[in-house]
Amino acid sequence: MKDNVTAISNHQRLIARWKQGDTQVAQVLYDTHRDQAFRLALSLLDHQEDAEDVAQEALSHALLNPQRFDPAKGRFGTWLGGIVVRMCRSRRRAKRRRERLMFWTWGRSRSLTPSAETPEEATVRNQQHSQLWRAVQALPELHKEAVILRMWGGHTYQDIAQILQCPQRTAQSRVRLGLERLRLALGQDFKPEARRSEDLG
Amino acid sequence: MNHPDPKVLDDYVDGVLLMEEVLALEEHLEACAECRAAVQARQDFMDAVADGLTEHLQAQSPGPRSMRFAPIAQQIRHAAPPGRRLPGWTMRAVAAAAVVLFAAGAWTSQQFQQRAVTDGPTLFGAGAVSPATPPMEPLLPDGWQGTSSVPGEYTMGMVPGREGGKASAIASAVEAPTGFGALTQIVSAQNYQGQRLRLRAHLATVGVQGWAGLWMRVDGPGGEPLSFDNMQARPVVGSTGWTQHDVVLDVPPEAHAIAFGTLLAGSGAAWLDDIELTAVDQSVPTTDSLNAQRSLPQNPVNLDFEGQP
Repeated sequence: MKDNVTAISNHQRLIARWKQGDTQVAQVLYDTHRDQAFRLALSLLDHQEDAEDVAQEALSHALLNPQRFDPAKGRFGTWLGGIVVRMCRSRRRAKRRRERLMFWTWGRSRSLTPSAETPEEATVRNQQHSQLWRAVQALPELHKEAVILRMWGGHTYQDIAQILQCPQRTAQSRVRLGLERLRLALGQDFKPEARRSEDLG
Repeated sequence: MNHPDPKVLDDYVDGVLLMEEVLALEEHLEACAECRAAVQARQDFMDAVADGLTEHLQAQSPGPRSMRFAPIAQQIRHAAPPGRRLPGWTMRAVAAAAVVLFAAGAWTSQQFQQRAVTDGPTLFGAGAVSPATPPMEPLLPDGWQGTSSVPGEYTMGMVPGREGGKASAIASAVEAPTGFGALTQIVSAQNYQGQRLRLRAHLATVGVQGWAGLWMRVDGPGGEPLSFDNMQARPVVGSTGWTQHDVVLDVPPEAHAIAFGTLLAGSGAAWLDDIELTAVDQSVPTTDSLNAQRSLPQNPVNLDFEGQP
């Protein structure tokens, strides 16, 4: 109990020093949160380079704007998560618009593959990714975000509400509906498959 | 027996059921094997999803050199107040931007230059261009079609031309458009069949926050695209003076139609002038993005692995 209290007040001091412009603390925050920010972006964008770009932009924006972080409203990681989610949404909107534009200027008779990948890359990617991953990627954006934050991130609904900027009840129902869709796609008896050597191509 | 709603079971397993509901549910579960099994199944499923996602994601990391603190450290050290510095001003960019504020009409280029010198730095304020007043006569040029993929987001019109006269323009009509605008013309491919065709035109952009470009498409007899380029790989952004761009496509003998024009995605304005459609010889490379993706070698190589790397 005492350790927790010490840890919390250390963390608060760290944040206070960061807000005063301490670059070393900024580095600590960066190193601590870098990989998880990347993984969150990857889970939402399903693209390595895009996820690296967005995570780096989010960390950059967060660390360069300490005045925008209010410790009273929640933890740094939660605030950062919200920035990552918003940047991912924005990137997906831009990508969809490019795809619609491609479609329109290309000709309505054809359907498109996403511009970032060749068909060969898409095939390889699908073979390597588990059924679960593909089912999660197929979820509508709002459900996908909520399911990932709850099931992978293990966040409380209070945190998820802050990250997604929606009421807690809304976050709960998005998770529930997302899981329902996953149950339909994967089957109630789904178990995560162990990686078989055939799957690696 | 009254079985609880599936939603209640979901909330229970997710740990968000209210305490008095939890007590009522657990009483029911003690007596009901069917609902106990349903709860267990949900628990197993949620664990499977959580474990599967964790196993997948925790194995992923950014590439070795792709995410580094150093560039952020540099920016912290050289921190300027947000919005103070603006990238890459050139005189031509300022002159082009100056026109945003003027209604279409009797400004000579000399007057533009003079205005630009005095008005330049104030035009952009915090970095956003207000598209609220399209600087153009809202007219579609003869022979052209204008499209806004989301109705009302873009307007087409006429602006002062590159070397006097007029040019056509697409401008965003709302602050944050979600679609794109395009200026198009479609002609028969008859005069160009069997040739390599170059669309050359001049583009100027004003505060484009998405991107702009030229585009051209060659259609076959069934309407299917035979070749295509929309400059997506080399988009024009920001505020540029008049710059020349080329799109080069082969027109196969069976081609039926050629569609071309200019497009704008996002806020800002794109101006188009002095278009040429000319046949060029094979020494000019095509810019075909449709067939570029399909350019695989015809034959396999090095099948006995004796070839030099």
